[in-house]
Amino acid sequence: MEQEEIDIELLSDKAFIEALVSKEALNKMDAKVQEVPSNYFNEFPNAVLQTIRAEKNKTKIIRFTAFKKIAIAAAVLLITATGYIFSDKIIKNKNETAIVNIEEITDEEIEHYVESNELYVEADWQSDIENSSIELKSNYTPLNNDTNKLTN
Amino acid sequence: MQGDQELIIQFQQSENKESPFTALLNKYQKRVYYQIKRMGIDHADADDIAQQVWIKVWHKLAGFKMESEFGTWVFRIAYNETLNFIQKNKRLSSKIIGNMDDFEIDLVGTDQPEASQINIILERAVLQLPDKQRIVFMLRYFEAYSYEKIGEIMETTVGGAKANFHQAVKKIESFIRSV
Repeated sequence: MEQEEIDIELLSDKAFIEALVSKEALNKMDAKVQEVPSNYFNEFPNAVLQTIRAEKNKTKIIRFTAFKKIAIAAAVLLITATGYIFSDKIIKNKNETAIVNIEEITDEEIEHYVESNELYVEADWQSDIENSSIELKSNYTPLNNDTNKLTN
Repeated sequence: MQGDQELIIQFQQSENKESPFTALLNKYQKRVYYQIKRMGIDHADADDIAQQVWIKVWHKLAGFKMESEFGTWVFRIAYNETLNFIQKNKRLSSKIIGNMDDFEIDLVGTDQPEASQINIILERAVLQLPDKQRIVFMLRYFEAYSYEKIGEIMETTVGGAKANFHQAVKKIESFIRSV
């Protein structure tokens, strides 16, 4: 569309609106839109720049190049993979040591273990017996007089 | 005075970005602010939105490819920011409707509305328009933009912009007749 046609179309649209509402009313309406506090447009650029400067100081934007992005992704992958492999090995090792311990214990070692722990077992028994006798004592109630007489 | 393209290149290539940015801001700030206000926004909110617009321009200007005019690009950002604001603040529309009720009571008993009342009628007629129709009407009448430019700002077709304009005029006409 040529400029001339655009201008004609615009004029006809404007005329159409002005036939509905007076031009004066339209201008008054727009004058209200253009009402701004004094000095507003002089101060506005500074206000915007101050906000931008404050934003800059607050957040330091880290810009990643394509190479850096790939390097970071590779590092994350490597750490994840290594972590997975090691954790898997540790679990396997734990299971293996448990099996080896059971299978590889010699009779001598078992005997030694039993002997060295025998004292403790005896001590445990002793204390159990003592405790039970304490309980018995505490549950003991003297026989009544009749039975005493009988025994006498 | 430097042209927009020169200032943009200067912004994109030099370390001192503030100077070309301020030049662009000074050139377009009034039109951006008026465009926001014409959407029915008061000064305080228009000021906030305008600041957001220019902060966005600052962040995006480095990637601006000059496929459209700088002005059109800024007005599109302003249009989108204003629409977002209106959608977030639905109270705005209820405030307008409330005022319209008061206004209808004021007109009872008057045969011919006075000039000041005509202004109020017009304002109300424009405010009751859907957002897109209102902005097309304002851009067409007050900014004398072509439908091509309006289409670019609103990211719509020329036909869409024309349809919105004619719908807006029809609604204004029927509103005025109803009063």
